[in-house]
Amino acid sequence: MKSAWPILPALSAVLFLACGRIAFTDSDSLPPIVPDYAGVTIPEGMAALSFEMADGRPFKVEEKRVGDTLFYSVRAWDKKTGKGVRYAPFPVYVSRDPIDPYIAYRLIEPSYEGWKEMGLYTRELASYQETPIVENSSVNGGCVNCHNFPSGDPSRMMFHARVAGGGTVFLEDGEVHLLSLTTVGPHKQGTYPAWHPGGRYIAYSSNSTQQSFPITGSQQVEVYDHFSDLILLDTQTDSVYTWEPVSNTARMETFPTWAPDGNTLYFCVADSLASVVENRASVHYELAAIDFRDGRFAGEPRTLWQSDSLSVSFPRINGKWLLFTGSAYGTFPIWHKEADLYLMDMESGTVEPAAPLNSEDTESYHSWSSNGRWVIFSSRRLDGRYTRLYIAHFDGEGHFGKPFLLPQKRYDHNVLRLKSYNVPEFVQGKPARLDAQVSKLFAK
Amino acid sequence: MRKWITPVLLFAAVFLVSRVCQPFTLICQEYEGLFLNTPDAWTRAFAQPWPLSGIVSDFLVQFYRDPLYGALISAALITGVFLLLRGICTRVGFAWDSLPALGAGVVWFFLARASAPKPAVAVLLLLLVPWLLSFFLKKRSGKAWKPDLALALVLVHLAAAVTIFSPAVQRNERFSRVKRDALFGVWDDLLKTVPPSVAQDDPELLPFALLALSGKEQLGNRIQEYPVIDENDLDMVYYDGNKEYYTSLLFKACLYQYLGCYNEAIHNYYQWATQLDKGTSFVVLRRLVELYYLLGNYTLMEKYCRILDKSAANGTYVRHFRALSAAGTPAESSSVRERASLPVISHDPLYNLIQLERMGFSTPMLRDRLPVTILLRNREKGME
Repeated sequence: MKSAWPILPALSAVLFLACGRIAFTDSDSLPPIVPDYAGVTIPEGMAALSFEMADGRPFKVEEKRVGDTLFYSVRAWDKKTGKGVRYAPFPVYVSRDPIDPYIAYRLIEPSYEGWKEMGLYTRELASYQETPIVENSSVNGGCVNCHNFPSGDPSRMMFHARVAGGGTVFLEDGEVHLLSLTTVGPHKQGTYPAWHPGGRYIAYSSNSTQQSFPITGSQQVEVYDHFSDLILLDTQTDSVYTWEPVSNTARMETFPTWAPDGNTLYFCVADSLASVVENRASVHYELAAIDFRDGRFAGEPRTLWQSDSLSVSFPRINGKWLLFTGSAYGTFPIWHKEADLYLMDMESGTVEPAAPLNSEDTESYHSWSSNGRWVIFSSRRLDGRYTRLYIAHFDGEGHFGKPFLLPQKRYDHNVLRLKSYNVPEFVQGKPARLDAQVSKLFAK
Repeated sequence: MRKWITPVLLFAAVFLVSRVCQPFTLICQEYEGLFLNTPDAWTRAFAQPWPLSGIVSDFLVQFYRDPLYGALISAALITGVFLLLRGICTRVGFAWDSLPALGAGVVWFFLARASAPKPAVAVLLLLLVPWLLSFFLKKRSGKAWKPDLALALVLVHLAAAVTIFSPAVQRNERFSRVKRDALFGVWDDLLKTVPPSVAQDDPELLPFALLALSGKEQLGNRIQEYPVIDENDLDMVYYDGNKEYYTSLLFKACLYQYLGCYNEAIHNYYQWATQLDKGTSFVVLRRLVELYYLLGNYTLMEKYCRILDKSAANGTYVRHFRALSAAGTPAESSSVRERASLPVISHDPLYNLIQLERMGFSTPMLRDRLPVTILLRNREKGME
């Protein structure tokens, strides 16, 4: 065996010479990389972008910064032929607009009715570090969902724990407590939350949601509501209220979101239908609003925008801009390949597709950064099934930069990960890990 | 020479018993196991209790797809336990085989009933520590005990007999064989494994026997041979949420696959995966590769190929499907109008079969099953 050792340096030398013999030719084209980072805008201090050649070839990359632009020069080669290509450098623009340092999201298999493991996680944007906030092992294997932070404040948080004896878990002053919304007020469960900017109230939709599974075709899951209403939780008194105009049995109200001044609640609403599945193509949610004064809704809801060909989900406001998900019909766009993001100018009432953000596959849940200069959204453009997160710059004038895929240490983490990212939200600090505290709430 | 008699016999016994009496148990351990060199898999592996033994166990299970390797690994693990125990015993002055044989027999007892080799790996790793420490002890010469070898051999035989004749081991082996047969459509073997008498004693296996009959297009002619009471015996529809949920999900995944309804098969494979230890498994990932290939969704097929490629024993499989997809044409996505009008699966098997027929599905299993389901439904209505 010892006699084999001298061979190693010789072998290394041969390999070195072999590598050195790669003949590179220059190309004017940009390198065919995945994900497509050419021309994206990133915030200062973002974790380094990682990518690979779309055809799997080995490559080397050199990074050079000129002002606010990073240039990536890529050389890729074919192992078999020994021929390589030196591609034109591609730019990545670095914006001086700051971004919230953390994001929070849920990781879950994009499965059907059941799950094994899921959890709420936080990710530092300056690094690749992902840490759990709470995993479902803390709630006896139940479902944790719909996490929400008031204005991105990590010291206050809520999420639902769907399990026997479950309810909504609140984090305040470093302590967690559990409240079952169905046991108070109108006895309705909470679903999609919207924390009032003042911090005292949380508006929820209360949805009766079902899934169905098309026998054939490329859409394998359809999710719809049988009915839904809006309810309001007063976190000071743990009381839940509802008002007839926003809990109309003839209509389905959902996806609440507050205006930044807290005086208006925006939501989506559609007419109730007897047979939703059979008539699902005719379910079009419109954008509506209702005034809110002194802890009460006031007046009647008013329709802000509606379309016979587009159903509105997840309205999110940033100054005069409202970003929503538009799908051909229904209320669960993540399973709709045609779902795209649309930007509404609330002053003029015009709605345009947020073209730079959209792809041929699903775009769905989105959230603005605390300064309104960045938006994070979920998209299935990588493989059509597993939701991944993209971040885009917004100039405040109605224009988005080219979005970038949330970078991972290695790009293939996006391919190898068997879980989807749900409900991405920006957070202004690192959320605490709550497993131990939450486990005590659900200790049998 | 004498000192090798017990370990050689033990190795041979575990190997033969595992290979002859538990081949499908071993195969199914690979089906339901998972070992991937991915960041999430490593995070998960280190988060489990006894992480090292879990990682080693998961690594070994990859090779159980061929029960020959599974039996060899089982035999090596148990023999390893014996040798370590004997090594420790020898150092402390008990140069006997019977005590280590007893220990190895107990580990074999648990290994034969486990869903993975983790118990044996854990014991082996635990024994490594005192075995290494025992080298620091001064070697003591123990007294030989004449009947020791005979007792050790009796214990090995006893352990083998306990495994061979254990009803739990036999039931697990039969159920594993049924799972393998259902997953791969080995209908004759399934019918041989679940004859009417077995179906009578084990109603959970009855639907699989009927599945095999419809796989052979003989359901209408031979259903009366089996103790069929109602539609649940045919479709396992009432088991949702019960303790048989695991079985019914696997059954429905296979059923809809052979009916040609790949969307619903994928739905049920995903659901079945949630019942498995790791939330998915090798056989689920391979099945997703196959079904997405058949659906013409090569993007997702490639994703699962790439994941499987992060294991040690799926390279040939992955290359095969990559070659197939390279020569194929990906399917177009359905239009919005088409998607909005498609019927959806219900909890009523008869409704589902009718919808499948209306949608133009025409598999032999569908043609065979539809009239029988109608017949059973009418019989139930008549009884009401």
